[in-house]
Amino acid sequence: MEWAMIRSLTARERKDASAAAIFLLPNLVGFLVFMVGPTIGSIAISFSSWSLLNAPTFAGLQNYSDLLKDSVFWQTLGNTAYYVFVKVPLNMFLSLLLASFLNKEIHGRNALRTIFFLPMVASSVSVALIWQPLLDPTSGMVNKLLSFIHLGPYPWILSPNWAMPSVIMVATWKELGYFMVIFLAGLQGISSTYYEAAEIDGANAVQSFWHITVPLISPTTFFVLITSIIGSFQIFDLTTVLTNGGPANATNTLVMYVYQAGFKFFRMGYASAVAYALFVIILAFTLIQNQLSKRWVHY
Amino acid sequence: MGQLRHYLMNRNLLRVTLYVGLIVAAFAILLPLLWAVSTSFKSYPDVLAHPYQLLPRSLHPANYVEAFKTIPFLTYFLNTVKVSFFTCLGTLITSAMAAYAFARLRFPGRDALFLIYLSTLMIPRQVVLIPNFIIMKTLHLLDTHWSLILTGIFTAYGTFLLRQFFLTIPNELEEAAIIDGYGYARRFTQIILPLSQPALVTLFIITLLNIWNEFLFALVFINSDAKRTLTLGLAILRGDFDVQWNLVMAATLLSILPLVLIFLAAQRFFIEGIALSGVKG
Amino acid sequence: MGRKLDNQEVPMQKTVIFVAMFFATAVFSFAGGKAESATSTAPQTTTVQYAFWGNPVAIGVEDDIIKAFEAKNPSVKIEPVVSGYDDYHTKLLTLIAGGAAPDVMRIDSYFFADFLKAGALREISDLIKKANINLSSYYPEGVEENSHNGKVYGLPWGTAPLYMLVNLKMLHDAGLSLPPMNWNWNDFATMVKKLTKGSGPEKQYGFAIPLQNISSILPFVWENGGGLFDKSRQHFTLDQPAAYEALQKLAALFSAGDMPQDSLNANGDVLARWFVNNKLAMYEGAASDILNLQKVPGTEFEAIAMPNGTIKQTTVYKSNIVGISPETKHLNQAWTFLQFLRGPSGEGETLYMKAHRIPPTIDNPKYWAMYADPTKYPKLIAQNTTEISDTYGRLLPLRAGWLEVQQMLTPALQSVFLGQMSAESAMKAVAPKIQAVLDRAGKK
Repeated sequence: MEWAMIRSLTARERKDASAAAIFLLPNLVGFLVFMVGPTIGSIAISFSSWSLLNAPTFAGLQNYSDLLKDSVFWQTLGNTAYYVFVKVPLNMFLSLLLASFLNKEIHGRNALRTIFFLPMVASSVSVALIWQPLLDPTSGMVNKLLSFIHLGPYPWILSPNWAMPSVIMVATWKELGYFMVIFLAGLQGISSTYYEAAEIDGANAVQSFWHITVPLISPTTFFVLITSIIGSFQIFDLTTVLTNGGPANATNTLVMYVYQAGFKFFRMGYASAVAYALFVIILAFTLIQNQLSKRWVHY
Repeated sequence: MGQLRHYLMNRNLLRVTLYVGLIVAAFAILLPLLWAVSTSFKSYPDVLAHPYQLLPRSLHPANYVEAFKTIPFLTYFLNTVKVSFFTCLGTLITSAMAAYAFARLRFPGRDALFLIYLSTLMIPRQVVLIPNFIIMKTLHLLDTHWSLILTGIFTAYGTFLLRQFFLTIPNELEEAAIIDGYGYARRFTQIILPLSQPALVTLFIITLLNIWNEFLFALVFINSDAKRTLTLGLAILRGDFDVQWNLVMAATLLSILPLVLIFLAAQRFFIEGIALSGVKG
Repeated sequence: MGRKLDNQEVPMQKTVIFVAMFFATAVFSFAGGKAESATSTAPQTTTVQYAFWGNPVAIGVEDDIIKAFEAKNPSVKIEPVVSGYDDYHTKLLTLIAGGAAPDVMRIDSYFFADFLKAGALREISDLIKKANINLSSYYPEGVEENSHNGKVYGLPWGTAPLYMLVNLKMLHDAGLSLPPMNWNWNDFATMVKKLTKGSGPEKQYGFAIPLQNISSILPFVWENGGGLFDKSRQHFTLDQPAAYEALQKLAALFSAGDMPQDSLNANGDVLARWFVNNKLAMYEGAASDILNLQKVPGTEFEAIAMPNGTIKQTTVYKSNIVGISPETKHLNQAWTFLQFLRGPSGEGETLYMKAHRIPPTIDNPKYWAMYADPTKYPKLIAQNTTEISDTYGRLLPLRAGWLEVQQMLTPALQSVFLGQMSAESAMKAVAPKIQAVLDRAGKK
């Protein structure tokens, strides 16, 4: 009997593989040509010295050894890490909370969901352009409103200490709705029977949240965590337009450095190397999260 | 402590607090957008008013008309719709299929391949810009919408999102279908896909947002005015040192409006089943 | 077993409607697209690609120039390659790197040294000689910015000073008159103090400096006898006393509250706001800033030279370049177009002047008459610009690596202004790093 099972398993796996080929093919072909191809190209560029105006010249590992000694690299990495490690947990927590509230039957739920999602619809550039005047310390709306409740005035984007928190605040404003939507999709998948059973057992809202919602939504949480970390490490538009990396380099991020090096300093080879250093860092984090996820993600 | 517990257990009180909190948060979300709308109705001297005025001194809805005329807005809009439509379509179809393979099928190298997919998300687009340009030039796709559509479809994001979602669908459903003699295609289209509506809609919305606001690739792929998309048009409105902020805001809001309407309409897909009572309190 | 969603049926219909609408629009735009591509160029025409930056108004001017050129040269079609200024050079560099360099291209002078080093602009001295173009028709700053070792690599575009814009109303209210062109730091500082009054939201400031652009601090460094680089432009010299003293004096104005906080992060718009509301008396601005100020009726201002003391040449002069790619396959047509666009006898300059966007690059009163309206502020711009060009103007010490130097310098300057470090220590701290950049960028 076990022999039959093993044989059928292998047969099934063979069938799986050929089916997989068909299911994968459309995406895989495009992926290889338009994603992997350029990636390999840019890895090659990272081993070169390229001004863009002339042909690239081979540079071996020079770029990589240079970036280890580059204080700007380390500083932008630090700024980026600051951004990621504050914004990601903050956003995730707030958006999960929001999603669970807006998953209930309450009046005006659709309107509220739309409102929270609205900021996501604008590009990061537009968001930064909208927020810049609001954060003006002397007469911006934010300080004005805060003054009504006797708070402030705060320097926001004009102070090196406040600049990154301001960026995090604006980024949260923008992305809250986005992660809320993803969590909502995940919450749809939780059967109501769990909650009904819990209610019968006398659980209150907070207990239901921690013991039902959080575990059952863990695959979605994992997805949100990974994509949020990956995306946040690459922060670029917001800091460029809102603060231009300042003041005093407080909000200069890694990808900004990559872009400047490649397109303003005529060092595309070096820029690519910095980008791949970032890649290695993000990959390391993702793998760590993946390992840790085996403990808290339930499929 | 006892008082807090009593508060937390009192459903009505909790409900009201929840409501008030949501309204305050919603207001905080809306304020910057109100500012944008207000700016879009200002005259240029009003934009430069000091201190900043929330409301315009006089309304200039003509800004919207001018934004429409100053750049060929309709052309840009239709181009953006076209690129978005095909990108969303292509993404949904190819990502769902690939995600099914990753989530449900066993084949050699599956996890390694998936890791490669995931890894491409970790590379900033700025460094693959020029290689992509060269590929498009080689394929004679420069200054075409296909360059944007193809680079838009084949990002790993959709595959990742759907694979995670497919993993949450209980295996038993498919097992039962296999016993009933369902083939791969039937299982995919009649079991997995229908259960994935929220995720598919989410992917649609997110893909739409990303491609609608796509800038960097559009900047280098598109040359001619006839092919330009909205983000490029908006960048041109800000293209020199005398920026008309009121026009820029009007044009920006106009370009976002379709997305808002689509999200409103797509909302219905998140409506819970009547059976789902959720957490009360 | 089933985990069906109860509301599946209703949304399905809506999906279908949506998809249908989208599809219809897509097909419609596809059809539109096809029609566009059906209009091919007439046989026997050469297409010359011309790259430039701008907003819709600026693009309109270029379109007019192109139309006028094509009317005179029916066998040549000019294909514009446009983007906004912010990302223009990214696009241009990508095109060049990808082997698709435009035939004629405008570049910001910040990039000239690197283009020159890479041979990315065709030397046109021979063409200029053959066409008998008199280079002295241009303001000399423009030609100098486009040349190297006596060889010319393009024709100038937008040659203009960074003026000191002065709010006349605030001056008169304070009982002051417009300073003479040969004023010095002390005159300037005294004026700033007198013009800074009040507190809180009603406060007005005497001066603001946009620190993001290091061109803005150079006039003061120069006035004090210092410089950004030495004469050979190989060595960083802001860590010399003459230079950092000037920076410290500026920073002192900031910390004394004579400059708004915005100076740290400001661009032209922000400063224009202060200015037109009579809350900022002076700031450095280019022709584009003048455009902004003129949009607000009732703004009375003039554009004068920067404080110059005994040094005299302290007002930044800048000029961009329009050149030809060495890879062009249509040299004759490209050159013909370039002459039309920027030549002393081409129509381009006239059209630019009529649009009032950039001051004359060609030194001719007729262009000033077109560009400047003597009844509109700044009324004295024509004579002031000529005087600046003659006596007070000075080109930026542009060289390879300029933008990288600026990127390192701005945070250091911001630290000084914020009082985190003295100018001396900040400049000494940043000097080795900037020198390393200069050495590296100057190589090969």
